[in-house]
Amino acid sequence: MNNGYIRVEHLTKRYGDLVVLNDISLDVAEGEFLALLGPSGCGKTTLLRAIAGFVEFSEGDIRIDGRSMKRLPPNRRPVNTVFQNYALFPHLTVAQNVGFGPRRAGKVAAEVASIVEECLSTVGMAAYGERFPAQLSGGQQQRVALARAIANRPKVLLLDEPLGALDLKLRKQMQIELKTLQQKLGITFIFVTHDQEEALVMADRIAVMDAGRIAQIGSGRDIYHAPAERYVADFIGDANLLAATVAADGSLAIGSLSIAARHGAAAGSKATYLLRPEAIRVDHAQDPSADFVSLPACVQEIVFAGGIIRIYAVSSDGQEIVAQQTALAGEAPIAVGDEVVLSWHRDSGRVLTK
Amino acid sequence: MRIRNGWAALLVGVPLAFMAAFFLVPFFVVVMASFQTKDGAWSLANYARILGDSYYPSILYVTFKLSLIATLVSFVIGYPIAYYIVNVVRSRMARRICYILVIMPLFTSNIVRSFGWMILLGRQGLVNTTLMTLGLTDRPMPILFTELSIIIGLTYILVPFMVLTVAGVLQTIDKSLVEAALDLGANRFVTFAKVTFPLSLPGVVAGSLIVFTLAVSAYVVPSIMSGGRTVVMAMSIFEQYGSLFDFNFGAALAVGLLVVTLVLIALYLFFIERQPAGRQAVRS
Repeated sequence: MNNGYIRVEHLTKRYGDLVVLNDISLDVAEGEFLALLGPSGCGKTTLLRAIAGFVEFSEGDIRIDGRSMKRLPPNRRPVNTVFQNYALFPHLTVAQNVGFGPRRAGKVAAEVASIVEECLSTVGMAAYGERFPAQLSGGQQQRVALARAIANRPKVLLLDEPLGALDLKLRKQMQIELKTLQQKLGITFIFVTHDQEEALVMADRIAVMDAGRIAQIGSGRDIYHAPAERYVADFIGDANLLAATVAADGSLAIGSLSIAARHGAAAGSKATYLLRPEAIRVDHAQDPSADFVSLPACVQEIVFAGGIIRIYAVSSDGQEIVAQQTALAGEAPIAVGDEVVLSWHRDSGRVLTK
Repeated sequence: MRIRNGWAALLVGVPLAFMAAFFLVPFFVVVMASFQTKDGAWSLANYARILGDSYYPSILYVTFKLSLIATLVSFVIGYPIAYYIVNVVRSRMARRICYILVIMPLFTSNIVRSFGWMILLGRQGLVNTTLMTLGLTDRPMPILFTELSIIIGLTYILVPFMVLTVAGVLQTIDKSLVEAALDLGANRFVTFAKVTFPLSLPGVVAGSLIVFTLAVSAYVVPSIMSGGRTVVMAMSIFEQYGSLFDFNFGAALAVGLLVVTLVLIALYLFFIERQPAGRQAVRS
């Protein structure tokens, strides 16, 4: 890709001996919604702060629209940030908070007022201009922080876990609103989160980070269905990760099973066989179809989780496997202790060599 | 764990009783004495005497003028020190050392400290000999026993109070607010003027009140550093009690000083309250 609007080139950040960002390269297209996803301490926030200008990097460069950000202080970068704790100025009203950026840009009072009004109505807070941040709820503060960050018409909006402090219902609502807003404004969003569902719902592309590097970058579907490595498969969604060995004929040996599968690994090497729980069928009888792999198992536990049920089973050769089925009312033929057959389509499993 | 009511009453009661016995009672004794003549008859004569000629009002004026200047200078010196300690010094150890250095002036007794200043500021003192050696002045400048020397002496002991109070508030300011201001396009200076300083106003208000009231009631520093040539209220009051034994008139002077101080503080807070940024400062 050479058309990156934001280009992160071999970015490295060290604190003493500790490498926080390890040779990160990343291209983000104009108008794209990118999520940086990873557990705490993976470097995602550091990467975001490096783009914002709060973290000086040891090596590499960040370019926005072709321009190097290396020596540019935060106040001169074409980016704005929505902070994790919102960071609203407590001594200023909502309108003054939103007008802070335009005022610094040297706009006259009337112009500032119209920008403030427009931004506040964009986030549905037009009626709250005269309030102080302390008089608003968490969700309202979140909206004001968003309005303040878009008031300067940034080329890139950086969001540092902005929904983390909201309760689940509001968070889901804000996810959709943010996504809609991003499409309406056409601003490039870079969104940091540790919540995989949030990333899957909102982002065009997801960069999964691990210990200062990007493990995989791609669309939500790519990352879920075709993870590049065990770490990504484990981090996104539920997964059965079965230890496998590549046999001499190229098939995979998993416990007592032998599965013919496509992979690039050499004979004798170790691999991981990924099986998503929803791909596994649980039946009392053997499936006759040749396209299916089947494995006898004993049901250990059944968990009812609303729309779905999870079935924890141990196969006859001792592997723990979780399967997931939609829970239709009245349909509960499987009980704890049942001897069942787990089966899945040959193509639904995936071999991971990293 | 909840403190039981009996213990709570004791914990609150003991300090309350102490305050009542050693602060409120003497205070009312002084107030009552100020409204009495030497014979014990009720009278406003003491207050009439204060306002009778310009002598005592002029002492009051000098007292407040010197206190105000000392407060302003303490702010000008103390605020940057507090800012430096909180926002520039990184290591916790270095910060601790800074705090110790700041309160160092308070380690020595008032009297010893003031005599130290006399040696520095005298005609043959270090300051004047340095100035003359550098050729900045031909003759020794009269610094000691002037209002300037009182201000120097007062500021020296009052700066620590300003630094500690302001630093206490600066520390509570969320660093992400500074980042947000930079992020929105403000440079370092505007960020300070629009965000950090307004948010530190509660510390400035509290610090200046502490410094001002301490300056108004200072006795040792003005009496030594003035050499008796400038008189402040505390010196007058001490004179009435300690030399002339006119407890009633001394009480009236003390109450007068207290009332004027409270009025000035009330005006100050009223003025701050009217500023948009200050409103937050006074409330918090």
